[in-house]
Order: sequence, then structure tokens, then C-alpha cells
Amino acid sequence: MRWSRRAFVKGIGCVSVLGALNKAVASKASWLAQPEEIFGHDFAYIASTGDAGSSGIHVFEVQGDHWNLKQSISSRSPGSLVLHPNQQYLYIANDVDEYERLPRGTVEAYKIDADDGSLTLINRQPLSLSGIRPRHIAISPDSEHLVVAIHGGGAYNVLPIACDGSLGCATQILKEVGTGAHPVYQTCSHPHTVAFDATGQYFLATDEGCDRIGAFTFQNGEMVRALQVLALPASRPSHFAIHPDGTFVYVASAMDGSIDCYCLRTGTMEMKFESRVFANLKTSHEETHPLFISVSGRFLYAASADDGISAWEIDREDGKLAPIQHWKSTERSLRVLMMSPDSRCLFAVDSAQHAVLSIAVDPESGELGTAFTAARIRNARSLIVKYT
Amino acid sequence: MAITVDRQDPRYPTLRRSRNLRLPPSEADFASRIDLCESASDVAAALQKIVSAGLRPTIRSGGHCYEDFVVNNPGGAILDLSLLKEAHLQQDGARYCVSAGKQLGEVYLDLFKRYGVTIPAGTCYAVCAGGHVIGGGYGLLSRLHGLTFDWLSAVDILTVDGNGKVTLRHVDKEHDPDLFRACRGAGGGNFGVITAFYFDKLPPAPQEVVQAGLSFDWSTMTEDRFVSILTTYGNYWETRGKDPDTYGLFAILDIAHSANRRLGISLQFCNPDGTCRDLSVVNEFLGLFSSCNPSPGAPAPAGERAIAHSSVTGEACKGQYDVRRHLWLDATIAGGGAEGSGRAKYKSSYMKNNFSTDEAKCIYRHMTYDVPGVDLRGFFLAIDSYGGAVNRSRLAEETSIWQRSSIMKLQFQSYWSNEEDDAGRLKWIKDFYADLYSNSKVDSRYAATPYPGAHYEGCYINYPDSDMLAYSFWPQLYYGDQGLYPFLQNVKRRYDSNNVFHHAMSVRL
Repeated sequence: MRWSRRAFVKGIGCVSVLGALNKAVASKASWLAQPEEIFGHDFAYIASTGDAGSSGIHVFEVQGDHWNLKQSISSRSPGSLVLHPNQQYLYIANDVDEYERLPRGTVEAYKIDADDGSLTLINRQPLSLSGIRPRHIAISPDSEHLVVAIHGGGAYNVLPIACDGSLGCATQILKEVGTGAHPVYQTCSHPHTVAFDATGQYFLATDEGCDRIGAFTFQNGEMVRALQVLALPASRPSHFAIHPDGTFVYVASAMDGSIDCYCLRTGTMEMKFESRVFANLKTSHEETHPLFISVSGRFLYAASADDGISAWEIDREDGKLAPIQHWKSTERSLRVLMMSPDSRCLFAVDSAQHAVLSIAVDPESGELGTAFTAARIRNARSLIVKYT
Repeated sequence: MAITVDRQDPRYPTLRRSRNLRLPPSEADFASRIDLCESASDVAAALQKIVSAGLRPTIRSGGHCYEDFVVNNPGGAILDLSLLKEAHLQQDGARYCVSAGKQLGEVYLDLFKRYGVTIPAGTCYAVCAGGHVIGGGYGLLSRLHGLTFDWLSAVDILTVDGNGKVTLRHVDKEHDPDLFRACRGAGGGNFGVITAFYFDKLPPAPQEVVQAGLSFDWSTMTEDRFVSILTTYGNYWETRGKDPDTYGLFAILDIAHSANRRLGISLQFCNPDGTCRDLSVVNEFLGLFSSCNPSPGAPAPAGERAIAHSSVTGEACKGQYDVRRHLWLDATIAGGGAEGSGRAKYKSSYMKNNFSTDEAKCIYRHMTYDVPGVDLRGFFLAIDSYGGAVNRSRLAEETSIWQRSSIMKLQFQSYWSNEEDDAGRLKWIKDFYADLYSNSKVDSRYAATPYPGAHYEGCYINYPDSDMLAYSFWPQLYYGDQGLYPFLQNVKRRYDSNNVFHHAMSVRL
């Protein structure tokens, strides 16, 4: 049986009856929906790290209540994943500190087979010297450039994307400097996350090494610093999510697990701190976890320190967050990897049970419902789903 | 204010390049601009501008770096100090100041003419103080007076603090002593930009020197005779060469590949008092090679560092051998060292003992082996005498040159002109080096390298060789395994926590 993305998501409730997680605790009942017409294949790409043999990209065909593993390819410590807007290419950042004997990370470009979703390496491109452990990548809205936030080297790289999907050498290297108050984690700049705004004219970036949130204009493949905002001292701003209407930016603190809300005015290039909630986010020295905002702009989701997921309602006027639900499943250690484009499903990795879960989302209340195991995999680090 | 030469400037194609035309590896790797600085304040302002713009600075004084540490800077800026030649002024009493952009030839002239002193430094006139001194700095007077920075009292260095602010530091044994130690031998491009070197005291320049040379024909060479030449040479430095009366003797055994006509020895000597009244040391040394059938007076092949005019000019001295007397300044300035540009590759090693027979045979084998399609006329293995005043062991703790037990320093040099010869040349020198250092004197874990031990003492950071990056222990080859590299990493964390200054072989955080 083939399922469309919507049918797949809506079918979750049925799946739970058929033996999916029975320990998932939701405050309200699960949601059932009617199946829709069938489209084509959807494919999930999961990056996993670990021993040399298990580090790589795993391709799953998304079929109904479970994902079928179709391909596993080796890749050195893959981290951030991003799909080309044309869905034909996948890019990954290799979270490594050496390539061909030099201190630098790499990024890889893969071609996606349109029929079976399988990946073929197009090329691997080294980052700038000293640019080790790239943390996050984003593609410019014109699809012509890949921007890399390089955590270890304190830099950003811009790489051109050719028509065949291959990556060229870095055409711009922006070296950052800065420190923060924490004597261990903030001795130097550590760019963490990059994301373009809806207009595509600029992108935002967090630097957890020096408590900075920056906005850069991006034109013709060149990034220019336009705005720099200091976060609270030693907060280590890391993952962030831009509200769909572009008004608010929510930034996760890697230090104390809080979420800060900033009001963003692109017209005048202003960014102002608005509010903070102590969200008890899951944090560690090595890695924090992403935030996701529903497409409606009403809800925000984040992994919490007790291995659960917290759901928040967003006040459209002032951006403030109000707690909706704390979703937790016993004997599981969850962190959110991705939200489906229609916001009806959250995908989370369960590092305790070595699984990827699909968790239904009530589009009206924002609450999380039934979950089921979509895939079995160890050390999943990031995920992206290519929908037809 | 610095002179900025960008891509639109007609000077750019000339100033962006390395003397080693093999580097950088591709057009995309060149820096986007060169900032030429005429004063220390120029340097500070230019560096601040570079850092604030998010660019990577690389630093150049004379531009003689053997690898691409300066010119491989895609989109970045080269901070060029070659115009930074502020005059020597005696400050604070007997202090001498040398600007980083001064060429060694200019330094010799200035120090001699103003004060009658000198620094024990290199033979290439156009090498500038900046890169030379911070990486070690040695030359024909080093057995007599030590390494250049053994005399160093302080430096002015611009560092970039954690928040990107350029800071001028005057560092010495009392102020930022850890950084001062790092500036004494760790190599350039690691911690900041040195603009000036200060010396409280310097040795008097010799009045005169003698130079001499011996050469040997490859056409009549045998393996046994070759082994005899090398072991005779090495034995001298291992034994008699440790006596203080020989410290004024510096020699280079320049072994050209047999595609050349000759190999040879060149030397320079003065007595410890700076005169050449007693030449018994020279005569004794030259006499050791009588049984090796030398050709006295014939010019030795000139590698880049040979004492090129050692036996063709100067006043002839009476005696058994063709020894020529020169005023020290004439000899020092006239030697000059080769300049110009070409394609090149270098390697190095320190030796604590004489050559073994197996090592000498290995060298002979490679020097006489012709590789089809590879022209090896441009290869030289320069075996420099070492030790003497360099080997004052206490200086290993005060400086960042820890090699204080060696008697010879080897430099593998290969020069060629055409890009199509790159692969063959690079492979040949790499294979030769690996073969030479895969012997019973090297622990199998470190095979193919002169890893520090009873026989070898690693490599010289001012002759950097990126091939060594293939080994995870490359820092130990250059900085030893007794704690110097961790010390330098701590200095790096303290003074350049953002790794603003970096290159392929810089100290890593």
C-alpha cells in the first residue's frame, strides 16, 4: 500500500491501534483522519553517527506505518542535512575536524534518484582551512549557494551550487571572532545555525561562542553583516526558528535550556529581545536540539531535558510562549528531528530505543498525540523527508 | 596607512604570488589583496581592518616560506611587512632593534656599520627577519654564536584578543613570558604579527673569514668512496666538531644528484676572536678528505644555501689547500644566496650522530638512481654542520627550538621549472625521504620520518614540509615529544583563542 504524505500522517492514529507505542502519554485522545488519494513515493534520509561502519546516510522509503530501509551509504560523521529546492539533490555537512590531512570539515552533495530515492555522491568539498566541525547548512532561496555555519573554526563559508547539483569551492569565507562569559564553552566564536528568511534577502545566524545573533544580507552569493544582537551573557544561542510571518525569532539557549523570543523588523534591520521562557530544553556540551514552529505559526515544539517534548502556543501579538503540553514516553529519550511541512507530524529520534518516532500533532490545539515507530536506527542525528 | 593592492591593481599578479611558483595549488587559493605596511602603526591598523572585515590574515616579510602558508589564503589578505624597515635605533641603552621587514643583508650591513655587531642568521640576503627569526634563524655563524633568537631579548607583537581587538604587546622574559618563548622558534603565522625584534646584546661581527671548497666528480664516484665522504664528514661533527676551537667552522656538504657533474663541500671559518690568524682547524678538516680524491678549488654545485663563492674569489691563503680570505662583511653580503622564483620542494631533518653506512648507502642509491622522465638535476641534499654554541641545552627550556643535541641539519631541496614535472619531482623526493628514514634507527611506529630519538631530532619548522601532515605525530617531528607542543597550544589558546592566525601547519587549538 502506498501512502501520500497526508495520508501517511493521518494514518498514524490507526497505526497506534495496531501496536505502535502504547506508552505514549498524550493529554487528549489521538486524532484520526480520512485517507486521501495516493501520490508517489516519499523518502526519508537519516544521518547517523557512530563507529566507522555505522556512520552514514540511510535512505528509507516511507510507506504507511513504517519506513523501509532502501540504502545505507557511508559518510564521515554526517550532521546537518538539507534538500535542494528542486528535490533532486541532498547536501550534508560532515562534522569532522580533518580532511586530507588538513584541519577542515567537508560538505557533500548527493544526487537523489527520482524513482527509488537512492543517493549517489556527486562530490565532496572541503571547507576553508581551520573550518572544522561544520554544524549547520542552508541553501539560498535562489538555490545557487550553500551557506555553512562552521562551529569549530568560527567561520561561515559560502559555496556555489552548480546546475548539476555539485558544490564548488568556497567563494566566501567569513572569519568570526568573539568570546563569551563561559570559561569553557565560550573561548571563541562558534557559529551554530543558519537560516534564510522568507524573503531570501538575508539570513540569520547564531553564534553560541560569543552570545551573538547576526543578520546578514545575501545577494549574488555574498554575505554581508547587517545586524548583530547580543544575547544574554553566557546563554549560548544555538538553534532557532523564524516565525512563518517573519516577525519573531525563537532562539534556544544551550546553557540553561531557555527559549528567547526576539522581534525582528527586516525593513529597518532591527532585532529586539522580547521575552524568555525557561523551557527546560535538552542541552549538552556537544549538541543542542532544534526548535520547530508549525506552519500555522501557532505552535512551537522543542525537546526537553527530561527526554520528552514540550509544546508551546505562540501569542501572535507579542510572540510570548505559553505552555500547552509536555509529552513524554517512558523509557524513551526523545529529541525532535523534523516537522512535516503540513505540521501534522513531528519526527523524533529515540536514542534509548534506537528508533525514529512519528508523533501526530493536532493542528487545532497543537497537542501531540499518538506515536509509532517509523524506523529502527542507531545514533540518528538528523533527518529530512523528501515528499512527492 | 597601508598600501592596499587588490585584484584590480596592476601590481597584484606580482605581489600575490609565492617565490615557489608551485604554490598555491590553484588560482582560487590566492589572497584577494595584499596590504603593504611601512610602519608598525600601519600594521596594527591594517590587521584590525582585516579582522573586523571577517577576513583571514596571513603574514609575509620576505616571502620565502617553503610551503603555501602565506599565499594560500582564498579571499583573505596578506599582511606584507617587506616595507617595514624602521631604522635601527639604540633604545634603552645597548638595545638593538630589527624591524620584521628588514632583509638579512640589510640587517648585516646596518648592524655592522652602526655598531660593529651582527646576528647569527641565514645566508640568503633577501630573506627578511620576520619569518626567519621567529622560526629559528641560523647560518654560518651559528656554531660560533648560536641561533638568532638565542640572543633575542624582546619582541613587539600584535595579537588579536578574544573579541577581535588588535593589541600591541612588548613581550620579554618578564612580560607575557610564555608568548615570548613561543616567539623564539615556534615558527611564523601562529600567534600574531611581530613587527620588531630587540636584542640587548649581540656578538661582535668577525673581522674576516676564510672560505674553501672541495668537490668530487660523480663520474668517478663509487659507493665506497661516497660512504667514506659522508661518514668522514659526519664523524668530524660528532667528535672534533664539538671542541670550542672549531665552533667558527661551518660547512655544507652539498650532494647534488648524479645527473649533475659534482658534489662538494663548502666552508666558512673564523677563529672565536673573529680573525683568521690560525687556520689549523680548516686545514685539519680539509685534510680528512684527502683519501676521498677531492678536486680542490673546483666549484661545488650550488644548492640554494651553498657558500657559493667559497673557492673562486678572495685572497688566497698560503698553505696546502685552496683557502680564500675575505672581509667578513664582503663574504656575508656577497654570498647572497640564490633568489628568484621557480618550483620547489623542501624537507629537513636533524641528526644527532654520524651517518650509518646504511644511511650513506641509501643516499648514494637515490642520488645515482635515474627515474625515467624525471630530470633530477635540480636536486640537492645540503648537509649543514650544526651544534657548537647552538647546543647549549638550557636554551631548549627558554626557547621553542628544542633541538639542542644535533650535529648536522639536512635540507632536501628540489628545484624545477615546469608544472608538468611536479608529480615526478614530488614523488621522487618523498620516496627518497621515506626510504632514508625507514631504517633500524627509527621505531616502526614512526617509520619514514626522523622521529626524535637517539639518532634523529625531528625536523626544522622553518623548512616546513606539508608531506609530514600525513602523520598524526607531525607536531612531535617539529616540536618534540617532551611537552613543547602542548605548551604552544596553551599559548595559542591564551593569545589567539579564535585561531585568527592559522595555516596548514600552525599550532592547533
